[in-house]
Amino acid sequence: MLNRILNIAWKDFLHLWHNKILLVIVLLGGATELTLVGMATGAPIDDVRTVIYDADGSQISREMIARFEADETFAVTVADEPLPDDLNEIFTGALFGDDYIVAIDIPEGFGEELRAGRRPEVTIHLNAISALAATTARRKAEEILFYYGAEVAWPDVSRDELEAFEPQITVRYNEELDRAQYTTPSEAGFMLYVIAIGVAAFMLAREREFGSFEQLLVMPHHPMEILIGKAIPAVVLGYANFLLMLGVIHFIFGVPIRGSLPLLLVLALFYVLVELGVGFLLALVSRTQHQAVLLVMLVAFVDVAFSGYAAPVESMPPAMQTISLAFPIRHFLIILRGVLQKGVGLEILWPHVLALAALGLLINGAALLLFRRSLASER
Amino acid sequence: MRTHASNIIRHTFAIARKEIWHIIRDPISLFLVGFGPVIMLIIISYAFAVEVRDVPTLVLDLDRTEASRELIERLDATEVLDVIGTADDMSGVERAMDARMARVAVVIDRGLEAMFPAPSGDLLGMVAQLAALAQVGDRGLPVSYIVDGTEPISAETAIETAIKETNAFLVERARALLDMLPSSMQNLPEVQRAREQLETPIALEVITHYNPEEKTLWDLVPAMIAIVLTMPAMSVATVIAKERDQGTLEFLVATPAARLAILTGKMLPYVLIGVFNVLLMYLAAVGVFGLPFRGNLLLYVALMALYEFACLAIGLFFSIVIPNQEAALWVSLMFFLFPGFFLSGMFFPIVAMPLEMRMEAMSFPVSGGVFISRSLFLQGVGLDVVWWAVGILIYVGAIMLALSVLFFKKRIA
Repeated sequence: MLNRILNIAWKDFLHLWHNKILLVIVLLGGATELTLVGMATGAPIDDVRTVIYDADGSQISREMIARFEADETFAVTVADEPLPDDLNEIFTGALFGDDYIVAIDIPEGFGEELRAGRRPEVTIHLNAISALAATTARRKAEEILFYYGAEVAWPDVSRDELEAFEPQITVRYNEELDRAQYTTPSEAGFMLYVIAIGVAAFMLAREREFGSFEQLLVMPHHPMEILIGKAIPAVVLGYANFLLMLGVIHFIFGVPIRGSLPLLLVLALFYVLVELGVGFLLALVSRTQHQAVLLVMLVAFVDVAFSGYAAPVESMPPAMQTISLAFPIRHFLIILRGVLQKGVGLEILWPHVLALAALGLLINGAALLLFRRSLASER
Repeated sequence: MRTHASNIIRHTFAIARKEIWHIIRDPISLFLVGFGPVIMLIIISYAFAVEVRDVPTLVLDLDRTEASRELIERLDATEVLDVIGTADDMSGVERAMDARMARVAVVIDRGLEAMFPAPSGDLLGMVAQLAALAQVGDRGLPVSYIVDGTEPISAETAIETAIKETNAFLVERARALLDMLPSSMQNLPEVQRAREQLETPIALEVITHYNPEEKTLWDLVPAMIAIVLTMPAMSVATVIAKERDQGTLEFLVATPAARLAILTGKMLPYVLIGVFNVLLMYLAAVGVFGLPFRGNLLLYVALMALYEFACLAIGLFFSIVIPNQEAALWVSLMFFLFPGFFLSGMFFPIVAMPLEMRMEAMSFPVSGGVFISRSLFLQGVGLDVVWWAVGILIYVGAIMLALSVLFFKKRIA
């Protein structure tokens, strides 16, 4: 029996071997995407294009501009002319021109009034064509203006004293608030799953499309053997991807592995087996590879939506939060982050492992049922 | 010559008609190509642009005074933080954070109420104490926050809210105490100085253009419209590759229909599907997500159709140079979909970055579509601003179509 299963699996490996492009993509795709995502998100938001018009021209206002220039968040241009009344002129984009994200207007008499403690007014215009950049720039500008203003207006209050007035903030698990530490585990959980269901779905759908599935069925194989044989390449490729990606996460992006690595490896394998059922289900509903790829994409995106891949589930409407519990990837991402960043183990993660087990039974059971049914109809 | 041209057009439409039949006969694919993009747009927008709100917050209140209760109520009243309960000690906080029950913990130490002078008694002493509120020195505030950093974007918003609310709480309480002083004292320099220090030194006016509430949704949705429009392009890649796998394509080439006619005929239905999708997604963006549309709708549809044409031409090219369907699938997936996400701003605001970085991003076809979609949606500009992106799309589309025709011929021969 084992022999027959391995034969079926071997056939699919051969198919991959003959398709070198496919093999390379499936094997390295996950780690490559992960690296790209990590690099894109890990970079801090800096050099935001900023134009400052200084109507005051005093030493104080020039010193303030110097503070903006010294800050990495801003790439400052000092304007010679007042900002235009119609800010579209400087805010809409040309490829080789300058479209600014931040425009700061310093009024006449700014320095004098600030020194006298009369609260001069500064106007900041934000081009929120990118909300993330606008928000980041606004926070940073507020900070610079507050501390520089306090320095000039209240010379007897030191910066330490000002800072002591703020509550103490301790950030846990990802102390630097590094975005890559968030996105790379997400991407790993996601790619592991996409590769596994993709391989399972495309291979099975290919056989159905070309009619070789029928040939497989008339062979003296038990249906379970066929299913397991088809599952092996998907599991192997998915898991190989995961190991590669784990290496990239840890060694390139510096995400710590604070919990038990063996536990994580076991749970990841378990997770691939759960998601495999999804791949089979998709392959069994679709009649062609074309349908399978569209379905895989659609299902993958629904999963992204509910998994907490990009935004915390707690911020979603309550109904979506409840629905999200039905998605295996949601539980796996909690497990993955829990083991990597929080260093917790089964004592805390057990509800999610149980949930994975229940979902796995349900999904794989449905796949088996559908497989039997399509078997009966095709025979 | 004229008959030749009209022949090509006739053949193009014949092929297009056949392709339309082909799509209609396969209802699952029809549904996925016709409605998949708008479904994806809605799902992704919901998932990625969730505004940070109701972050579960745990309280450890060791002060147990009116002041601490006031602060907690204040935090709970914000959109961002949601107080879910109280812990008895630090180990309770640790457990809740580890198990992800709470993502923020507020620890209020003894001495918060004591920071504020009692309203009765030595009035001048009270003023001095209030003026020195900003100078709590090494002790710091008896308020601290522990934040779960695993989700940095929501953590940053939570931190901003925590600091703002705590400061506003202190300032308002101090100001209320100053207001209680008899009017004879209000003009004293000490009192004025104390008031001054409760304000920020510079009055800052922030005016946010195009997207006044800085909602991520507003820049994400227009970008996603361009990104999910690549789905039909991937369909074309698989369809052509499949016909080659099955050998029906050779049959087609053997017919007198010019190669150009075959290829454009195959693309035409997908461009139409793309236009249909654009209209659906426009309705979803405006109707479901409440985005403003500030540009010219007709121009928008026309430019998006042009963008769809460029994407299809690239998909076509892949399916012709890459020898099998599965590989063509994966390549177009990697080429279209994934780079698109970097431009969408949901990971990283590439539009705000310096020129060199933008240039790199701009080498992907998706960037032109994202740029046009966003500019027309949010900024309401027209061809005078986006012309260069339009030029790139025409150029890419034409080159890819020409290359496809060329390679198509060579391989068959």
